[in-house]
Amino acid sequence: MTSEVTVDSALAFLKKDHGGGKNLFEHMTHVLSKVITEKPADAYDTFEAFSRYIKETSFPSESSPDQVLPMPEDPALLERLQKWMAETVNLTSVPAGEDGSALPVPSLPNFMEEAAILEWAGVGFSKTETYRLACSLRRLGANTPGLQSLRFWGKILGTERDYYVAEGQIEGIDESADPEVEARGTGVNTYTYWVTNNVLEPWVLLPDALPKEILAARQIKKLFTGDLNRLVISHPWFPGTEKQLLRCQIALISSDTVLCPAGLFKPQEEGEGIEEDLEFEYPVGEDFASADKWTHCRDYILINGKTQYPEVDEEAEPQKANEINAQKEADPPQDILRTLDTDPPVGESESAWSVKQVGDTAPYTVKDAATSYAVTVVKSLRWPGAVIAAQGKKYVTVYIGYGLKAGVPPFYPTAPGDIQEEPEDLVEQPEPHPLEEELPSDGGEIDENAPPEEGED
Amino acid sequence: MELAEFEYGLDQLASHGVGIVLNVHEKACLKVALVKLQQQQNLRQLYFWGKILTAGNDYYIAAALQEGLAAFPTKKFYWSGPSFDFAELPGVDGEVSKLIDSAEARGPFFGTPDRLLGKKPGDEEEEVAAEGGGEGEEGAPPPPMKVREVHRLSHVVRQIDNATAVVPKGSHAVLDSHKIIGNFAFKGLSFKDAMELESWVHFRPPHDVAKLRALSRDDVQFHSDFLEGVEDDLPIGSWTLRADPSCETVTIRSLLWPGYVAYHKPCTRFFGGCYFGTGEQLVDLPFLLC
Repeated sequence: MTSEVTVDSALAFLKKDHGGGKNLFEHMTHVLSKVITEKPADAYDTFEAFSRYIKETSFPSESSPDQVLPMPEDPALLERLQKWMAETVNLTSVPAGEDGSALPVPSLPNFMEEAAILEWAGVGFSKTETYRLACSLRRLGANTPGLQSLRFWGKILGTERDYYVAEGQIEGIDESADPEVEARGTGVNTYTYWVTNNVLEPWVLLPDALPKEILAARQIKKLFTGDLNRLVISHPWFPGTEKQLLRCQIALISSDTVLCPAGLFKPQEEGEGIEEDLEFEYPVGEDFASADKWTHCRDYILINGKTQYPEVDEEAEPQKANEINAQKEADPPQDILRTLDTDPPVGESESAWSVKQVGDTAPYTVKDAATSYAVTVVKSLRWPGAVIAAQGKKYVTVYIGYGLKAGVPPFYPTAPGDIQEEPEDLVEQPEPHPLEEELPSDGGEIDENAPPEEGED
Repeated sequence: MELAEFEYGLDQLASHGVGIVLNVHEKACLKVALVKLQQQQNLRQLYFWGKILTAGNDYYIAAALQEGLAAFPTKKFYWSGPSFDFAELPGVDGEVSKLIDSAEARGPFFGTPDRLLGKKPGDEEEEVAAEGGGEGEEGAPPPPMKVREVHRLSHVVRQIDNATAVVPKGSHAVLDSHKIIGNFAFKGLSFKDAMELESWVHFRPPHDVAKLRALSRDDVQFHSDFLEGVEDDLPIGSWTLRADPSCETVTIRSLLWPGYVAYHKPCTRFFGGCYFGTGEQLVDLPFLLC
């Protein structure tokens, strides 16, 4: 018997109902249309997967419930979104006083421009994030009374949240009551710092750094959590919360990594500070890309946690004077404008710094003067994340990192000693019985049957 | 991140990452170099893997997935210096990797691929001369193994990749042929799920027995649970998840290898990760966490 296959009979076979409105024809159509819309690179290999996917997810005569049901909305998410929208609008508008007039902002560099230089150095944020940060700094500057200057110091990465850090100088010297603490406006507290976890939110003022905290901070290695009030659990003990540790770490990083072009500043003629040399000319092009063209420009922090040794009357307090002289010998005071070769090298490398030039290194002549658009990048190997970038007559210093010093041995606390093995049990002996006759003596020196002198029971 | 999403991915990492970006010169040159590599080597799946920061010239790393006989595609790594000419990273056998691991406090990379480890870049010639003189002597100790910085680079890149390579759960699927592919049905995690460590898995051949069983089952159709999760990684707390204030992107960072960041945009199929770091592991991490 022969059967003639016609188009009609073939279609009828394919469209045969397999229960629940399913038929092969419909399925093939679905699979093919899915393959054609998705256009997978390996359609031949994935064909079966598509087929099974369609079988599992499609429902006869109606689409799957997943597609028609609206997604349940997460109220917490909606709340966060509302907050984000309101805060962003607030942030991006020019800060205004109560009467609606624009508030004056103190000396604040154009952060968008600085960020462009930093981008060449390979650090920074995306364009919108940079703009948000610039707006946030502007708002901080406009709302802080007595502020002389402000700049973006950097970002400390944390395990839960990160800290954005702003550095500013407040007018006048705030003489603190404690002579052991360097007053605000002097020494390690020359600059004041503000931090925030989120640039949309207000900035928080950090406390001043105390010498004992700096000394403790130098000895510990810790990751920041992002919560200013978290207790610092460490060995040796740190006197304070994360707020104080963060302030100390900022002081240590600044002291080691804030640089300026060599010669831009000179020691003050009167006083101990530094002042700008108005006759200074910036090196051009390749000349800039060398470690001797840069110097530090922040006070060196001594082993007493301060920037200076106290002056002691040797006759009145001989013991204290000896102590300080010993400290001076171990860690002699260093110039603010010390050169980079005073820093100890890191690991196998010869220096603590890496200097290179990136960007457009072509020499240009603008108005008969040699000009270069290249960006000189100086990176600290001691504090990975500390970068100084310079282009033309502008230079920027920033730190973005976990706040951990490199080139120090890893911190492993000593493990407790091994648990000792139990001693082996003594061989059991029969209990002596006075009524039992003693065995004849073997003539040895030791009387085995004599009761032990220090018995266990 | 995949080559097709190169610029988008970099922007995501710049906004929410560890503060390391690529400048326009690097972006422009890398794009060309990666397309060239893809064409020369006939690579279907090419990824920008990351950048190793050095004291000199930084290294750029690319990775390619190649299907083989095994269920898991093999990963090949390529590196380039400032010339943006990618070359395959040399294989590193057990002995060499032991030698690299044993050196303490190695410090940052120099950026000089030919440098012998433990030597300064200029010391190379002396080394060769000394070897020549010592040839005739009997009983002289065998010359030290020549391990160069490029070997250390290769070793470290493989180590990092094995510990990271994080993708959202469900982004990959197993086919009937037991091959693993990107799951075309993946429409993204919900925001809530993306903020859970359980929703992130390592894209690497699993070692865990339960996962291996899942991979070898016959009915493993769109089975998404065959990769090892990051929540079991030690030390606890070595991964950190966060969302940006707009809740648009969720990022996950490795603290054990600071510099590794992966992102996912919830409810979309966009995800990727990159490493921007010095190639040094935070070995004392358990003691640095509270």
